[in-house]
Amino acid sequence: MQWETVIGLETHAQLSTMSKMFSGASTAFGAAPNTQASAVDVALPGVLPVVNKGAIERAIRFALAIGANINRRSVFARKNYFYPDLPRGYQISQ
Amino acid sequence: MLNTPLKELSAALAQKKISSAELTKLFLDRISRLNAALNAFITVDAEKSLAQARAADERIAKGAAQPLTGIPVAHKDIFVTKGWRTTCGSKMLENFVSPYDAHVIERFNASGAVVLGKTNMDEFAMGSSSETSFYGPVKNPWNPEFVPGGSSGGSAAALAARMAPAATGTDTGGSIRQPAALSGLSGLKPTYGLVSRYGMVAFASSLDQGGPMAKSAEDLALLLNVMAGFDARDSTSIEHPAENYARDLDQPLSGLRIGVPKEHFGEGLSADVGKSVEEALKEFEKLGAKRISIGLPNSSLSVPAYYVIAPAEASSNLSRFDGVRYGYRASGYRDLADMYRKTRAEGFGAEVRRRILIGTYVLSHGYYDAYYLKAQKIRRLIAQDFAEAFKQCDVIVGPTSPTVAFRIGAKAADPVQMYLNDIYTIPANLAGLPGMSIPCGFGANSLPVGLHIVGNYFAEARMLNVAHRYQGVTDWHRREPAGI
Repeated sequence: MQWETVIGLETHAQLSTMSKMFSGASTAFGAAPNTQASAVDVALPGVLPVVNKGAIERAIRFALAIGANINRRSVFARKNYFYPDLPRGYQISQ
Repeated sequence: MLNTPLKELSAALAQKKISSAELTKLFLDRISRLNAALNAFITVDAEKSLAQARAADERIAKGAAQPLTGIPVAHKDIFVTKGWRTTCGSKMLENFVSPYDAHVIERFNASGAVVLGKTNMDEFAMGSSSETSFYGPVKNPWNPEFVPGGSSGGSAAALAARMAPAATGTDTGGSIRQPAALSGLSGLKPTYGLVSRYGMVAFASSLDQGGPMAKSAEDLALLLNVMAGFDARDSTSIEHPAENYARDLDQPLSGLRIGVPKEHFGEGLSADVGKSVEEALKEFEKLGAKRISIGLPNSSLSVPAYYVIAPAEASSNLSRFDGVRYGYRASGYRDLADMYRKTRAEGFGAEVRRRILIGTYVLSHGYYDAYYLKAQKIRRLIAQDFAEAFKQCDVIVGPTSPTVAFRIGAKAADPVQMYLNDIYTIPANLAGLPGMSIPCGFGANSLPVGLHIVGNYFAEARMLNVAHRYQGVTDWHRREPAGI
């Protein structure tokens, strides 16, 4: 049997946004603990994640720079599990 | 004052015939007299309400009043309210005091309205009878042996017993309209996206919608004027231009095309409800409306599709209640997993646990396509049914609920019977359409019957017009429970 090796790379980069991916809380480095956690970050009842427009713009710019395909429609999905560092009980992923 | 329409209350406040503090006190006194028997409110804080009322009086004195300035409004305990305990009817949030206001609360506060208290509800809005509340069942003021409907049953009972002149509710499958029907009130679930969900404890995000509950369509219009509006903190909030929902109330109904879905008059509809609805349709014909028979062929699939989609979304939304950061935490546990298990087993009631289990199951690997995906396809078919229907008619009218209110405990042991209460209301949620219920008579045990009106997207002003004209020639909405 012939096998073909296909390797995919998942690359992470921190974007230069002022606020977090799904909340308006600051991403500035070096602040005192818990001063940059918003109601959305700690998943209080009733809060909703809202995608950071600046992050989407930067992602599109990056995609244009490397000649990648840009999807006209992007869907976020939830990956549910329980863990103390996951206040909402789900990761928002694609 | 207890039966006065909001417009007249507003005028009385403006003319200084009564102060907001006096008006608020009047309703607070009524709450202290009646709430023990009816259990409509979970939390009342007279000091906080009166402080807000005094601030409203100052605003009125300065000539800066808006239509609802000084009017007390009871809020379903699902809208988080800064400085107030917000329980969502659950033991899980028994001691949760919100550090922020829901968008709906912000808007009422900005309008100068007074928070009169937080109303009882089915736990996390899961129920059609207000019996699943950790704080005990709500009683129907028309007969306290019967349920007021749910999940916004506390708001309904507060209004029916004239403990509040106005209230808010939320509607995921009928939770505003069904209690409005069973308690003889008017209630409106707006188009999905019209009222922000920010600060509304999430049950099923793609279906949840806040809306007003009141004694008349005219009052609903004034409340919706405050509640509706774009909010960037809810990604499904729609940038719809601001409307005055009272603008068309008096428009004549001549030429109005009323679609009557045959599927909502078949098996399961009790004769007393059918008779009242039929009489209401005749009343509309007298007002100049034309009756058109329509079909909503996929209607029968709405309850099964809903009970896949709503629990699926709930199972994810309720995972934040884990005992780590706020709310209830079990007292004795071995390790982290044990803490999660015990906290959630002890903190949630039976109906909430049932729906979390169903939801987790239908989303689990290997079942997603068979259940969730299929339910979403059915949802599309139901929305298409409505789109077809609205080519022939302007509004769709039928019964809100198959029966009048049932006895407390009568359906508690049979979830499917309980779920079938919402068979006529669920399709509007699945399609995202606005729906409302108004009183149209009395049925078995002299209990109120509700008339269901569904409109096209953003047709709230038209629906309120239809309801208001009907209320101009009938007095069902003015009736109140005897002996209270």
